[in-house]
Amino acid sequence: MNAPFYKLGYFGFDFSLVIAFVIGVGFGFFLEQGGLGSSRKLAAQFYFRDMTVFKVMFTAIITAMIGLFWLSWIGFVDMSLVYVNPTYILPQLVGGLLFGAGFVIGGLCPGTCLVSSATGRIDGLFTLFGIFFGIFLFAEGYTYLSGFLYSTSLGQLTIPQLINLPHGLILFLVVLLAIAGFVGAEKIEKKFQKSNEGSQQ
Amino acid sequence: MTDSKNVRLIKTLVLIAIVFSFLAVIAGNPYTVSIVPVDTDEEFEIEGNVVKVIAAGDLAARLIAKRNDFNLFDIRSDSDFKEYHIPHSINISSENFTQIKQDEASIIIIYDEGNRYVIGKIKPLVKDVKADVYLLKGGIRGWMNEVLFPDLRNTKLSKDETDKIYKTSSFFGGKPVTDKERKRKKYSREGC
Repeated sequence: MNAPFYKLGYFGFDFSLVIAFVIGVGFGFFLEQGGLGSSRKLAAQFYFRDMTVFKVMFTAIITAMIGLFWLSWIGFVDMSLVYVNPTYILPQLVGGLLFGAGFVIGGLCPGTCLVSSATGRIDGLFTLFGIFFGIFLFAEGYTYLSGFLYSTSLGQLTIPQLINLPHGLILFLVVLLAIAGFVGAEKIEKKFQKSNEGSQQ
Repeated sequence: MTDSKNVRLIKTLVLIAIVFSFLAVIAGNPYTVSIVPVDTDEEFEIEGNVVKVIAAGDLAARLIAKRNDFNLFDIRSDSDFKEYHIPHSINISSENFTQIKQDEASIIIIYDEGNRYVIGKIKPLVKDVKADVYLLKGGIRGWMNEVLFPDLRNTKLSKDETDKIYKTSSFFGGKPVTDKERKRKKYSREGC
């Protein structure tokens, strides 16, 4: 096994931060290249006028899924060392709704607001301040929230484990779902763009 | 890039995704190692041996009672072990396992990082062992949450039960999380 590098001790914590920085910059660069530094483009997702976010995210998911699957299968990545975020049903449901609300209001998510700020957009900077304010509130209220944060725990759960189907089949179904999603997204985009143009005339 | 070239590229990528994901159905499990989730009390079988599950509280009780009928094995990395480990546990690796196996106790308790145990890491510990093998429920995180820093908020426990939890937690250097502690922290912060 060659990866994950950090878990296998190829470098220490300090150097892992340098690598995280480099990957972060690369990630930000490609987000900007994909046009995801613009809050208008991102907010248009919620009005079905521009489904770029959906397409980018779903592409990232299936790329990572296929990559991890085969890298693990050939013995390059030890999947048992890849951290699986524990599932907490209610807190994650509330967190997801809160995240979505912030996303549609600000037009940016944490990653894209950094990209937007880096390119000098004012709305990106405001969202970034909002994030830090949110982090401050969360840290201050942590003792009050922690009871809820760790409620409805299901442990480290994976989809194949939950529905008891083979990993390969899950991967195939997700890819089919993504393709169907892309085709559907194109149709929805065209439909809403037309209706938007119609209402503007 | 022109639109037609773009479409061609997208179609090629989609085709590649379909081919690789379809092959994945045939390939089956990507885990070159099998993983068993230990988050219930159900026992299971590895190498023909029945492996049971032990809760962190029960392990703590054994350690406090200074029972010497069991060996406690930490199967995490050496660096994780050095950072923190359950008292009296031994960090196990393939190099030192043979030596340890000769000193068999009647019970072997194994723990990893969380509730996902890698079968391959447990197999050599279970093979040709007459002792009863237990896996710690929730691993070291279960130990932290249940023994070192148990959350006593929103729980209705008798005074005896609470005292017991406090004693157990402080025995291992921990402290339960309580409303009192929260208020005291808040008060001291305001005082500052």
